[in-house]
Amino acid sequence: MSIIRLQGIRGGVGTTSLVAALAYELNRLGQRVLVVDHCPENMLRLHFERPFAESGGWAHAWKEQQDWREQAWELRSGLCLLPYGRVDAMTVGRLDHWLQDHPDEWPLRLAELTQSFDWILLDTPHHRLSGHCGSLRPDLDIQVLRPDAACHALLQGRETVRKLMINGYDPASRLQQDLLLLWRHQYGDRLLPLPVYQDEGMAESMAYKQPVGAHAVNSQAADTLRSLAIWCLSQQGGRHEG
Amino acid sequence: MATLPGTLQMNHEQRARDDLFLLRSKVGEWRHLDTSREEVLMAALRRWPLLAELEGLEPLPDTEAET
Repeated sequence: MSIIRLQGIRGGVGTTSLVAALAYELNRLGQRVLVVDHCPENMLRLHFERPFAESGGWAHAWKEQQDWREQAWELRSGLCLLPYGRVDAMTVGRLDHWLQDHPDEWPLRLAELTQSFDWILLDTPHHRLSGHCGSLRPDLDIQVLRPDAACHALLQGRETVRKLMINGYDPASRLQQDLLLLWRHQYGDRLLPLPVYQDEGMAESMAYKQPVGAHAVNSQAADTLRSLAIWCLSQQGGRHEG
Repeated sequence: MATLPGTLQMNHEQRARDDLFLLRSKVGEWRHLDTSREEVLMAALRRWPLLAELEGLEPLPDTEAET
């Protein structure tokens, strides 16, 4: 089993849509995939046709002292979702403190799932919730950014070995062309092999409550995500051989 | 040289080879460097004041940035 964590460098870069799309494409390649929402916004479920009013999820289960395992949904064969759940801001804060005091909680939960899934994809919040994210040890750690000046400024001075995934690239934009050139020069192999192009199919997919590969199967974004899913498989193969 | 008659006169190829020999003897070892990619990168950085500032470069004047 391999764990992929996606985290936006800031809000609004499309991390949740990418998690849904990548999970869907990995599943289409015959992989057993679990997606886990670590974001208090609780939006990932909306890509998988769950009702907006639904409140269940692992954080909600923590508050109600229920079993987190019972909060997961099987969306289609081999593709499962564990939502965050609907909780208030105070509960998010208390939960984060509790997770800081119990750093083994999520590693133990994930270890429990080793035999059941080939991949676990984690959608993690960009803001500082160290209890939610601090103890996670992903095999593939990906930071999501848009090719804009704000993301470039935020990248400065960050010493990290994370992979970088560009979302929403518009090749007609001079600024984005320049940023892509610069990032390829500065970050080289840390960039994922393909940027995800700006694509209306991606924007529409959440409105249709589906991953982009289900809603717009022939879109450029879906095609790129398919290629990136294959790239993930190749990374997994490399790790196992290593 | 140009006034030498017939077979003693150098053709263009010989002249170029001779110039290259002369250049080599004056500058010693050299290698070819393609700086076009770096120039494109520098132009990209200097086009945008924020990018230039973060790299410690002077931005292009506004008139050039618009071209």
